[in-house]
Amino acid sequence: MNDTSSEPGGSDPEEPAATPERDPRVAEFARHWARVVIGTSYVPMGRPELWEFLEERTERLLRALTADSFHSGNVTGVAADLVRVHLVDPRALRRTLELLGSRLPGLARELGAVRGEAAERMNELLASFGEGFAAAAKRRVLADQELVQRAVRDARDVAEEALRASEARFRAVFDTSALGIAIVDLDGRVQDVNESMGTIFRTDSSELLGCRVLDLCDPDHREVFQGEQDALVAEVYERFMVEVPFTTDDESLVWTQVSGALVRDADGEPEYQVVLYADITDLQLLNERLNTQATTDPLTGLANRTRLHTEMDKALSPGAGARRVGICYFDLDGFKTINDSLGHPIGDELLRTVALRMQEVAEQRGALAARMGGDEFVLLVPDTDGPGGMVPLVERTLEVIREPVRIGSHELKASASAGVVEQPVAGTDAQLLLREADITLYRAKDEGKAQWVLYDEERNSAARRRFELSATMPAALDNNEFFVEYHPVRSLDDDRIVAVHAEPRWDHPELGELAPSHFVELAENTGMITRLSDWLLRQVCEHVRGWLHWLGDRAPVAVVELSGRYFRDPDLVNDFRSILADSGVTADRLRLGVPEDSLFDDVGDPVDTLGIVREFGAGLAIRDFGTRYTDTRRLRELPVTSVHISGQYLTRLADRPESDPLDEHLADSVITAARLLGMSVVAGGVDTRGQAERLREKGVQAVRGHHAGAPFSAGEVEQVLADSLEGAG
Amino acid sequence: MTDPSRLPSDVDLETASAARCYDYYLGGSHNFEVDRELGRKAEERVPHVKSLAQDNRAFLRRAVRYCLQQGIRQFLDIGSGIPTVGNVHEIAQEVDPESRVLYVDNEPVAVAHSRTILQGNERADVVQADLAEIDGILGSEQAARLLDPEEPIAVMMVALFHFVPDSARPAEIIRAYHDRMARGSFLGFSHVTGDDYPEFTQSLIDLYINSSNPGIARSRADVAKLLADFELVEPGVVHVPDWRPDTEEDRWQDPARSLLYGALGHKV
Repeated sequence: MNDTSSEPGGSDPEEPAATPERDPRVAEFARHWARVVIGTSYVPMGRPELWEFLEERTERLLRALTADSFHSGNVTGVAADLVRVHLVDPRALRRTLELLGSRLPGLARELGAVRGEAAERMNELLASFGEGFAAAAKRRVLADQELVQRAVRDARDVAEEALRASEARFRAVFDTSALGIAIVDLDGRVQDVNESMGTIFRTDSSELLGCRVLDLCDPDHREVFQGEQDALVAEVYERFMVEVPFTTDDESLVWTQVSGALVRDADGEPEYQVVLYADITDLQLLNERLNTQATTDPLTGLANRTRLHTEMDKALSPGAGARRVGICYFDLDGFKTINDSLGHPIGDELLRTVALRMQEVAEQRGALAARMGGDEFVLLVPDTDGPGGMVPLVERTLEVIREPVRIGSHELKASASAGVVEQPVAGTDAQLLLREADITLYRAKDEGKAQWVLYDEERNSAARRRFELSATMPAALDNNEFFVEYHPVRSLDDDRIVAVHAEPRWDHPELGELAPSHFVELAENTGMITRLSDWLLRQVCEHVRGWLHWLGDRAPVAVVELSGRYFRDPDLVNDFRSILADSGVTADRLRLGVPEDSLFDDVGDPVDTLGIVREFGAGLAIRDFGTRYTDTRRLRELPVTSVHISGQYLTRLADRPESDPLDEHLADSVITAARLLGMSVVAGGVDTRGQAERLREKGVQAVRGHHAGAPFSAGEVEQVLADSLEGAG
Repeated sequence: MTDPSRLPSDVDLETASAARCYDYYLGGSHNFEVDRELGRKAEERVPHVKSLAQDNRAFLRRAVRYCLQQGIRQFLDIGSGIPTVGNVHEIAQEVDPESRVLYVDNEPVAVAHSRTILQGNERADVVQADLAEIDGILGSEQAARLLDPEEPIAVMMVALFHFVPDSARPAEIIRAYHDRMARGSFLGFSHVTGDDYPEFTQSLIDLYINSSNPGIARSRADVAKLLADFELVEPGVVHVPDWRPDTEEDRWQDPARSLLYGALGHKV
C-alpha cells in the first residue's frame, strides 16, 4: 500500500534493531507508553509489536535528550512515526507528552545519561515532539481528505459515464424506435416525443408537445385512460396498458396500445412518465372484422346464433324485479318453393330484404333481430311486460314481410309464420325458450301458416311430441328402424296379384310400429321426405332385384308412393337414375304413385320430372284422382297406367245395401273418367268380398286392402304369389 | 458489476456511510462531516463505540495473521469498505509480499477509494458488487487475475452480516460461498449482537436505520447457525476481544461490551 502519511524525514521502524539486548527499564517505559495510547485510535499492529516500536522510539528520544547538541529533526521524526502507525488522536499526543515530560528525564537519569540544562532540553524536546506530531497529523489528514475527495470524484465520473452511456442508449432507442415514445409529466402533459409519435398520429411530432396525453384518445375512452394514469401517478400500479382509439384531423381512426411507466427521481419520488404508443390499428380492424364475422350472419347482416345466444344470456340474467323476456321465432312460408323455382340468388335476395325489414321493426322496438339459418329468424325482446306487449311487434313484422318484394323482374309475395313465447326470466333458459318458440312456430305452420301463434303449454306439448318424432327421424333411418311392407294388389278379374304396393313403416323403439300416416306428412313438413323417399325407392329396387333373380318374369311390379313435394324435387331425377343404376333394376318394374296435383306446376305445365320418368320407362299411378277436373283430360299426355282411388265414399258404397246416390255418382264419375282415359282403376281400403264385388261391377280392375290379402315382407313374395295362383286356380 | 440504472443515485454524500463511519471510529480522516456526525451520535449513545470498531479491526488482523500462519496466501475481503488503516493486503503482504487480496464492496465511493489506494499494487484489487452476487464476484476479471479457485482461500466477512436482513437469506449466501471455497479455506466472520447489552446494540441499530446501511443484531446461536457448514477454529464464536488476543492485556475486563462476536470457520 502507498503510505498515505509518509513523511520525508521519518525514520523507518523496520530498520534492524541497533541494540539487541534492551534495557528492561526502557521496555517497561515503552509498555507504559503503549498502554496509554492504545485505544485512542486503531493501530495496525499487535501489542507486542507496538512495544517493540515504542522501545525503539524511547531510545531515540533518550538519545535526543542526552546528546551534546539538540537536533529537533530527530524528535519530530519520532513524532511523525507515531502518526505513520496511526497513533493520530490528540489524546495520544497529550498522553505521550505527559509521559515524556514526567518520566523521560527520570529514565535518562536511571540509565546514567545525565547532562546539565536538562529542563531546558526537555522543553525543547517536548516542543519539537508537538510540532512534529501536528505537522505529520496535518499532512496525513490532508492526504486522507484528498484521497477521499478523489474517490468521490472518481465514483462520480464512473456514475456520470454510466449515466451518459445510459442516456445515449435511451436516446438511440427513443430516436429510432418504431414505437411512439412520449415523455409525459405528472400532470399528463407531453414534454417530449420521438418521430414515431408523429407518424402514428399523422402529424408533425412537434405538434404533440404540450398537449395532454388524454387528447391523444377519443373522448369515450378518456375515462378509462385517465383512471389508469391516475393510478400510475398515485403509485397504485407500476405500469399500465390500455388500448384506445384516436380520430385524427383527417378523420382516420388510429388505434393505439398505450403503455406507461413511472420514472422516479433519486429520492424515489415520481418524476415523470414514459408512455409508449404502438399503432395497432390494423390489428384492431382485423379483430373487429373477426368479431363481426363471428357474430353476424354473412348473408343478411343480422345477428347470428352466437350473438343471439350472447344477447339472450344478458336478457335472461336475473335483474332487479321480476324481469320478463320475449322471443318470436319466424319462418318464411314456402321459401323452399321460391328457392327451387326461381333459384338461390333470388331466394337470397328475398332473405336479405326480409332481414332488412325485420331489422327496422326490431330496432324501433328495442329488439334484436337474428337469423338462425335458412329462412328462420328470431326476434329477441328483452324486458317485456306480458305476452300482450309482443303482439304489435309480431304483427308489424309479419306485415312488413308480406309487403311485396321486387327482385329483378319478379315481384314476390312472401309471408311468414311466427311462434311467440313471452315468459318471466326466472325458471327458463335460452335453450328452453328457443325450443318453445320453435315448437310454437311449428304449430303456427301446422295450423295454416302466415299467422302467429302464442305459446301454449298444453298444445305445445302435443306439438312437441310430433316435433320430437320428426327430430328423431334421421337417426331412426340410420338405425334401420324403418322397413318396407308390401300390400298385394289383386285383380278383380282373375283374383291374381298384379302388383305389390310398397309401404314404409317405422318400428319405433318407444311408440311401437308406426304406419305411414304417423310420419309421412311430418317428413314432408320437415324436408325429411327426400331422404325417406330415397330410402324407400332404394329398398324397393333392392327387393325387386331379388324377386327378379328368383322369380324371373313372375316378379311383381312394385308400386312406390312418392310425396308430391319429393316428386317435384329437381334432384329426384338424379336420385332415381342412380338408384336404378345401383340396383340394376329397369324402371318398367316400378310404378310411381304420385298425387294428381303434383303433376302440373303453378302455370299448368307438366312438371319436368314427368318427362324423365317417362323416358326411364316407369309407370305412373295417380292417387287422389279426380281432385283437379280441369287437368284431367291432360292426363292423356302422361304415361299414366292406373289411377288409385280410395276414401270413405267407396267404403260406404260397398257396405250399405241402400247406397247414397252422391257416393254412387262420385264413384261412377271417377271410374268412368279413368276408363275414358284408358287407365285401369285400383281401389284401396277394400276389405270385404262384398265391397270388391260392387267395385268390380262399377269397372274397378283391382283392389288393395284385406280383401286383396294381408301385407307381407319382401322375402314372402314367392309364397304370396303361389297362394294367389292357387286361390285364382 | 456495473448496473447503470443504479449508479447515478449511488454516489450519495448526503447520507452517512457505514464504511466511512467505521473509518471515523478507527481515527481515520477518510470521512465526511455527515459520517462524523453519525459517529458522534453513536458515541453519545455508546461511549466506547470507537473501541468496538478498533477491536473488530484488531480481530480482522488476528484472523488474517492466523490464516497466513496456516499457509493461506489469497484473501477475499467482502464488505471491505475503505481499506485504510490495518487493511488486509497490508497485513498479508507484510508477511508474504506474494499474498493476493481482492476487496469487494457495493458502495461506489468506497470502491473508487479502494482503487486509488491500491494503485500500483499488482496483487490487490477491488470489485464493486453486492455480497450475494457471488458469480459476479468470482467471475470478475479481477478474481480471475488474483484468485485461484483450487487453492484454499480466506474469505473475510467482518462486520458485514449485521447489514444483511433475514429476508436476504444470509445462510444461503454463506452456503454458496462455502460451496465455492477449496478445502482448507477459512471464513473470517464478525457480527453485532444484542445478547449482553441489548440497549447499546439497539441504540446503534436505531441510529443506522436511516443510513445507507440499516442493521440487524444476531444472537450467538444465530451466528453459530450461519457458520454451521464450517468447523470453527478455537475458541469458536466468542466476543472479539476473546478471540486469540495477542496478550492478556488485550482482553477486556468485560469482553461482552464489545457487542461483537467473532469466529473463524474452517472448511475441512
